Amino acid sequence: MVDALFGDLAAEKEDQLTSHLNECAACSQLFTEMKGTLDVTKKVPDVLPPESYWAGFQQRLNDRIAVEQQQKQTDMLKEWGMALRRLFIPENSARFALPYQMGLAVVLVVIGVLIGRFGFNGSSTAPSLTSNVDSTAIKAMQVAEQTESYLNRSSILLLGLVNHDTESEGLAIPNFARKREAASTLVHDAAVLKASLKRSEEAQLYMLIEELEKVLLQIANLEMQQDVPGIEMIQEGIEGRALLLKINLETMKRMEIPASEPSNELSL
Amino acid sequence: MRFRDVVDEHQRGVYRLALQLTGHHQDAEDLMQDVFIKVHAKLDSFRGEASIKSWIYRITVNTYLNKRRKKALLFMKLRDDFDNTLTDARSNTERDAESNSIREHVHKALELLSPKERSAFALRHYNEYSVKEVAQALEVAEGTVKSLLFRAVKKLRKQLVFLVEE
Repeated sequence: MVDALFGDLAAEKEDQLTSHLNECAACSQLFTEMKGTLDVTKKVPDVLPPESYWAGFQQRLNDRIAVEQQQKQTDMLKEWGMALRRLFIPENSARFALPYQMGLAVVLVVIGVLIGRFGFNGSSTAPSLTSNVDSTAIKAMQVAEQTESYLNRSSILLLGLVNHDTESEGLAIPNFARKREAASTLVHDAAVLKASLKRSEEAQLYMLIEELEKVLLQIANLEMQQDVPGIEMIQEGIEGRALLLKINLETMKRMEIPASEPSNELSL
Repeated sequence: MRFRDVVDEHQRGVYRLALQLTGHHQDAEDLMQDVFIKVHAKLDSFRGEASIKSWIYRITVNTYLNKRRKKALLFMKLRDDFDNTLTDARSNTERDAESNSIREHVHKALELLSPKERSAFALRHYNEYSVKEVAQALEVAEGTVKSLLFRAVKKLRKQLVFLVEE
């Protein structure tokens, strides 16, 4: 019968079914009701959201892809961290943890000495000033990378919220839980970044991170997906403080070529 | 094949199927995002053995079934108010009382189907998949699809028979 209902019945079998339905009132009624049910379910109008929704959807999808990729990187770093931790603190050796760590430390020192002696052939006595400069430069690079990643992630999150139009896209924020989690991670990361920036004396950037931290905290503390006053307050906060503009300016500033670097371009 | 073009071409079809499966706009959007995230991750490995539409619809149904398994959609009921708001915002022609009433009854009846019955029914009835294609999408035998469809229509008949015209 199901073949007949969905129009899949072969012609000869259809004749058989028709003759049976003509003779059997119960089957005939069941078939009529089932066919009628299928007709009713087709009467549901095809409702698609308006065009404005689809532009917003693309943006939300891109935001989510960016957040997920960021999350993947963070997870990978966490896994590496855990692997290193396991190397130093084996799970089933709580009693021997200290001797094990000490032993491992000795092995690492020995390896280091051997690398120093044979790997660098006695030329490892570089001036201490150079070493300090190198390590400062590396730290500065690390802070720059952290800052870039932080501003990028914040910008994606804030854009998603600022572009959310409650009138055309509905009251609820899409991927609310993920956005809140991302905000919470960024608040946490802000503390680490601020500590690094304090040392590097980047006062303007430090203030921007502080401003971002306040708005991100509000996002992390949103309790409901449809907290319209809360969302609007956050949107106003982002726009009022011109946070996206400040992020853009800071990003552009960081992309500038340093003045001391020689330029290959012709000057007019 | 650019990801953006794929989204542009298939987002409306995926939305329709997602709405048929979940019955709610917000859940349809969430499901649609999950689907396109997977498409984004796997697009490079898509070998073109099936059409891209079949491939994406298959991802849609599997994602829906997995979500149901994880009971993530337990919260769906809480969203009725939101979906009603969306309904109110629709065009005048759609406000036609009779068609709204039919839609409401059909959605409620579809909610009584099991996720697999609903998936089979949505693909065969609304998206004109053949029984063979439904079987491939759900990774079950064709006979199983027919059973799912029969059970689905029987359940729907119980709920909607009063709307069937004599």
